[in-house]
Amino acid sequence: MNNQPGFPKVLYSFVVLIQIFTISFCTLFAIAKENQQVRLYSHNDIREMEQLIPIAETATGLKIEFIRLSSSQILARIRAEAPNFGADLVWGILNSDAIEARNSGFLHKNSSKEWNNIPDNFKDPEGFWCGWSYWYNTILVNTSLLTKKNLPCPTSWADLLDTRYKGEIVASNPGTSGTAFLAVSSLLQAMGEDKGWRYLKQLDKNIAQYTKSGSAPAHLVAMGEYSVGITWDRAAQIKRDAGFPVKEVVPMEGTGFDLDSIMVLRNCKNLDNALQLSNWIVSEKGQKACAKIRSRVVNKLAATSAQKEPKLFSYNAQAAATSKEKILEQWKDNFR
Amino acid sequence: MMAENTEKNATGFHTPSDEKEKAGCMIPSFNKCIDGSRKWINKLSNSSFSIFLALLVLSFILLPVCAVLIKSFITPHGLGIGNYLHFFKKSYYYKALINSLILASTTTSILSLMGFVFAYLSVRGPRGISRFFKFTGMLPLVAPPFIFSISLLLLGGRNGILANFFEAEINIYGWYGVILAQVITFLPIAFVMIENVLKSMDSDLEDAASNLGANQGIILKDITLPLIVPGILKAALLVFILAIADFGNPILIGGNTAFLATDAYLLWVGENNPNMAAVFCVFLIIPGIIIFTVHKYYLSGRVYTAIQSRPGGSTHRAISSPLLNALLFFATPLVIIIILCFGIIAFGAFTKLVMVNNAFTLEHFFKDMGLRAMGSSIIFALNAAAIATALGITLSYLLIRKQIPVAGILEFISLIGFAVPGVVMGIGYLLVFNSPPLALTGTLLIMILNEGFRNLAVGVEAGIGKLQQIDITLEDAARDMGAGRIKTFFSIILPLMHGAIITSFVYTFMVSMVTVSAVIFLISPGKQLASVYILSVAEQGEMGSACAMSMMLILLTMACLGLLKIIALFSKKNIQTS
Repeated sequence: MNNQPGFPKVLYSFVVLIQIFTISFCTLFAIAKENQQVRLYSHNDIREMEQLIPIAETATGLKIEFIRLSSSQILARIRAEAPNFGADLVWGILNSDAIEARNSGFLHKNSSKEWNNIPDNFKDPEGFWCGWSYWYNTILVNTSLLTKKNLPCPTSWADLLDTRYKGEIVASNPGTSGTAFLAVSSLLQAMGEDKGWRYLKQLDKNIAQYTKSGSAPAHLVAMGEYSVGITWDRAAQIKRDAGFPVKEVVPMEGTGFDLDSIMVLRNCKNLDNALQLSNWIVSEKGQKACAKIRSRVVNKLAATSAQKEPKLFSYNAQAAATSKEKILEQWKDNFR
Repeated sequence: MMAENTEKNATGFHTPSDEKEKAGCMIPSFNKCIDGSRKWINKLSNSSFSIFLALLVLSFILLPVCAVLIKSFITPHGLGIGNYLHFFKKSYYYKALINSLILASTTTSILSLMGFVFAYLSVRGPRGISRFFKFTGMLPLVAPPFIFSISLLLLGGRNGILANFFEAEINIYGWYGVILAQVITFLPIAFVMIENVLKSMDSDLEDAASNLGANQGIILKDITLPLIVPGILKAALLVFILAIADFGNPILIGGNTAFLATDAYLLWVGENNPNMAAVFCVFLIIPGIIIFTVHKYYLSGRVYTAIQSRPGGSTHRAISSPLLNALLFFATPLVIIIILCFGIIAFGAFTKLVMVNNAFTLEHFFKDMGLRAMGSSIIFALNAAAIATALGITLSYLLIRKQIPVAGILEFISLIGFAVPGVVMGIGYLLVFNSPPLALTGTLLIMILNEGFRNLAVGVEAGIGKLQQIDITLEDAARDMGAGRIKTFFSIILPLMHGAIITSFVYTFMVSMVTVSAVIFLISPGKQLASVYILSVAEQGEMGSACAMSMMLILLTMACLGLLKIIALFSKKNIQTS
């Protein structure tokens, strides 16, 4: 009786503890990043960002918070959030999606002298978006699996139609993956609508599954789940450099490429920081850092000329952006 | 300060030796005056508090669901059922509905059987076996709900451990994978519910049959099973809802097969088609609400158990060996898979690349982003649990004791929050809280509120269950002694509802640590949660990180649970001594 209850005591001190814990945690973080925070959406791979963000943070003194979303997810999100965007800067989005965002009036106009070193075809004439790197579709093959299954190594888009690859090819879904949308739309542009769709329909018979992420096929091929994957250059190269028995094949006919874009969102919370970071990314120093994780960068001063340029389709991102909905609808009608 | 106050309050209940009470007795007129005003204040605070709670429940549960409903009727040409017509015209839309229904029914039927087998072995089996099955039956509960997909991929992929070991072509992507992953994920739910029924079952009938010479197989078939069928049915309905709402497993291991919850997500975020996503949500809501209504209002009280008799477990009749063997035959494969799954996660966490480079490494554990996400997850889960518990218990008290008007409706709304799949609540929150008056998107608060209110029903139901057992006379006594309503609530009701509070808090905490489906819509830069982080690295094929982070999340959840349990024990002891 004298030793009185502690139940409410314990419960409430516990709840109070949680609150103190939370508040202190939040304020600690808030103080740390009060004025130096910048919030990113990005379709770059998490592994790439884990390398880039520390470099960018030291160079700019900013605290970078980021989440990874696919390119179309980013567009959908800023559409839903407008005009109160949840991020300040988008570092890495499909060029066609960046054009869409510009046309919807979501972007802040940037006019920095850092942009002078970027070729005109890599930036928006009015300064709403600019590229920071470009990338292209490649085919990744697992050489040991091909030998084991006694299959030849494909060298072109046409080779992939060979019935022997049935159930061995993995690609991604253009509705959710920018990589796949680039592949589909660039093939349609290069072959023409009718021939293009016929090609895709034949290819579909060999496809084992369409993944959600465009880098996932590279992973599945590297792990030996499937022998052939349709993915993009860096995803393939990372697997090759990690020592997997894989080979990157740039299709003989050529391949689609996309300008990976940066855009500052209009009226965002940390506008100055976003501008600072976006300017650093395209600056010579920033581009040299980016060149460590990407094979192609846009700044003339940092461009890596040593590598052989692959054969690229001439790709019209603007046209792809306008017909995106139609392409996706038709793709789903055929392949879902 | 708070602690001292409550201590005094509790004393007041047993012996009115409190200084204030004495003073009150000496000056009766003054006391009367205080009483009068106190009544007024109580009445006022009671009703205003009820209104406040009702508003919260309305705006954080009902409003988002309604927003989704309305959204599904918005077409480019104004309001109409165009989206629904479109849904039934395109095979890739309605197939998702059919697939989801088939998936949920399959998982449910398998789990009704497995849940029963595990429960029977745990309740009636020999001691060692009983403990073992109780442990494995509960084990999947601490893991993120999609973790079994990750380990099944590593285990059963085309180049997985099994494929290499048996040199066989196995394809786990699609139906088999999702069903297996779901069976493991939801086993604890089925197990716990059926075990409870089995435990509280009156064993007199079984004893009688046994004395008359029936063998155990016949007793099981003719007596035990019919008696607990309603219990199994209840468990099955719950599993059905969870299976249809499941998001993580289909997205990781579903391959090309379309399911409602994942496709709603992909439509919303991937293809920017919010109206069709809303239609998918409506089809997700309907089965959930139907089943919960049936569950709550038609099945309650139909469980044929005798609660007043002695606990059935006390008889401990030995299970006959043919029956034991038969049950073990069913259960063992699943047990092996569960243990393998956890083993693979541990193996993957310390391995450079599973099946490619099996060298030991610790690098997966030191991912800055992952660790930060872990921190946010704890904050998130603690706060969500605090909201669900505090509001839920208070609401249950108001519902049962105060008989506030529209009590039934409020309870039903809280149940809707629980029954509606996370994907729907995620989309609903985005629709409602993206603009003023409550522009919450991009904050940690919106995630906490979402998770807290989705689990409000847990607190409410636990509270109602407990309150119905507590005799109201205790409260009346306290009131007669002069305690105010608030004082009564804090010093009488709360201590007695200790169990309900702990249940609600622990459950919500665990669920929040591993939740994905709703918060995946609400995360924002810097507010990443561990569970969502794991899902996104797994999706990109970083299995090592996924395993390591899953393992840390499991250990962290267990550590927090241990801590909660210690607190619970400590506080319980305190109650019993008082």
